[in-house]
Amino acid sequence: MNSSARRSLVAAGLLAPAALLFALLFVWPQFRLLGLSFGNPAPFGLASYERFLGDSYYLGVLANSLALGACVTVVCLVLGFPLAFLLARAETRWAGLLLLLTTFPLWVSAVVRSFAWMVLFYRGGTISRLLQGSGLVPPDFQLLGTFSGVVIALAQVLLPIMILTLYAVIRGIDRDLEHAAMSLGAAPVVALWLVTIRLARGGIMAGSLLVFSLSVSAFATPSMVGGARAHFMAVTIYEQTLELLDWPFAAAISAILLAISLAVALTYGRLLGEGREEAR
Amino acid sequence: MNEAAELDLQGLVRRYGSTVAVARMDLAVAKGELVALLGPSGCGKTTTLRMVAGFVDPSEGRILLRGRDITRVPAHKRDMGMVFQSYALFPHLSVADNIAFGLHRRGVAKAEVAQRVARMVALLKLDGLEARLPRQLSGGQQQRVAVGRALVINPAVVLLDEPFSNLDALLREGTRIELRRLQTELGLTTLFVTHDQAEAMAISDRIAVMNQGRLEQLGTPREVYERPATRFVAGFIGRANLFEAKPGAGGGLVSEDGIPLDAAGGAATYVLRPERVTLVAEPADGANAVSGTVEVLSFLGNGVQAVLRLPGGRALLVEGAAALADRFRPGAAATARWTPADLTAIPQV
Repeated sequence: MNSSARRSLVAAGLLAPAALLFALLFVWPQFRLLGLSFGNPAPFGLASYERFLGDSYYLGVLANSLALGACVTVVCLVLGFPLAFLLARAETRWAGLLLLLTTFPLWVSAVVRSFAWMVLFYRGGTISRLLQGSGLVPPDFQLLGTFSGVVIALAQVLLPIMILTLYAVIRGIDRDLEHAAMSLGAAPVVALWLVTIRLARGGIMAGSLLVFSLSVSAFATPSMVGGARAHFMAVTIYEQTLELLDWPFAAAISAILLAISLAVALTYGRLLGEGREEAR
Repeated sequence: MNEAAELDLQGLVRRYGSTVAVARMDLAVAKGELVALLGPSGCGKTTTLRMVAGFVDPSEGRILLRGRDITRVPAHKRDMGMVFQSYALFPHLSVADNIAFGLHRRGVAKAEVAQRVARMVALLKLDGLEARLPRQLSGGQQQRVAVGRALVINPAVVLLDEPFSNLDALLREGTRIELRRLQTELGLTTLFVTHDQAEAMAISDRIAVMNQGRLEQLGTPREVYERPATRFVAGFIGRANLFEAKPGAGGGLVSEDGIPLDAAGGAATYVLRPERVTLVAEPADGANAVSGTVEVLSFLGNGVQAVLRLPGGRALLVEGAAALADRFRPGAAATARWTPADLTAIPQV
């Protein structure tokens, strides 16, 4: 046996446990799920898909989830970019600690965090009371169970992911590029737009698509903060699976969500590749 | 110098917490003059340049450009053309777009932009590379793009931050001569940061030697070499033998390691440049002569560098013609001699 063949055998041996686990616990169930989604009427039918795509209620759920993803992404990007930029450019040793602080939301369980938001959002909760006091909303207004409430609660969780992604990308952009732009006559904002944001485009794409796909498939926060009116994909799958026991239909919704996530991930990969090419 | 100062730094100070990066920097640069800020790393030369560029705020002092106080003027309104050590070319823009960047920011008309970029491309021999991205260029080409991008805007002052340090030795020498030619032809007022004394000597009108945030000496290359103001300058510019001369028993001067000296002045620190030392085989006595053992002989092509180890432990640096290598072998006994005129006193405080 020559050495290159031996090396590939060793590599295969090292990969085997993870590959086996992945195949057994992810690929196989995924195929079973896909099979199940085509199981109505047995042995092969598209009734589940027809039901989803033909019903304006379910299409509304899909649109709702996509809208949630878009809103959370925009909020995270708008709040995250300035923070990531300042942290990346801060000339203080506290920058590392501050970055760590921004990741705190990730350390708390989604359930605990969502409970906290429920307390703040219900009719008598601090945030709802503040809004009522401002006179902008009716006196019995509560953020609990609203689309905005879910966006706020999800954005809080996913903001660190956006910040970490952008931080890494901005740190990789030579600060002297901004200096060079400024010395050539670009005001700081213009330098930021023409140089930093252009070069961070890959990171902006990556962060956005990551946050988007996580928002679209989120379950705990939308179901808890969104309450009974939480018409989102993951929540609907849960209802179909555990409450209505319509597994083929739940499987079909899962497959549709998976297809969307997959499409997003593929676009993400391609855009990231382009961004990296450009930032080099 | 002051009445014609194009760029005038007055009592410039920069502190970082309790560390003083630049302490009381006074420097006037005349129109069309190239002044080098020379010193070891951490001496404050780059901080000074960045204060002039507007990237670092001075803690104290003023920066005047043509008599106008620009200390608080933001970088993008200062009219400085800077060449960065890393070149800082915009990686997403072509060579032509990199050069045109400053012109676009100034709202120069499209036709004129094209014309001025083309002129700069021709001047810097970048023909045919206009559409390339920076990463598709060699180091030397990248450096020329960085220079072109800074010069095309006709800046009031050109700032060069170690512009040759990323080039290999052969390219470096040609490039610096080329840049000096360009600078003289266009009459560019230039501030040039470098840690390489040979580079500073080669192309500067004047050199500002800096150490630990202080300006040690400001003068022409010949002045700082032949009449160093401080021990530091004597040691940093070229190679030097230093003697702490004190009055000896016989009335003459004696160095700290007992070498009798005959110099024009009295007790002082004296510099003896290696090329002023003559190496002979026969022993000699009296002042300005010392015997020892040849320890190292390095052939440099245009000459020979030798180290003469003295009984007192001192390593005396000697430089001479290539023939020196024929007359002496490492291990041979030799005597070094020099004249009173070869000893330059350092007016050190």
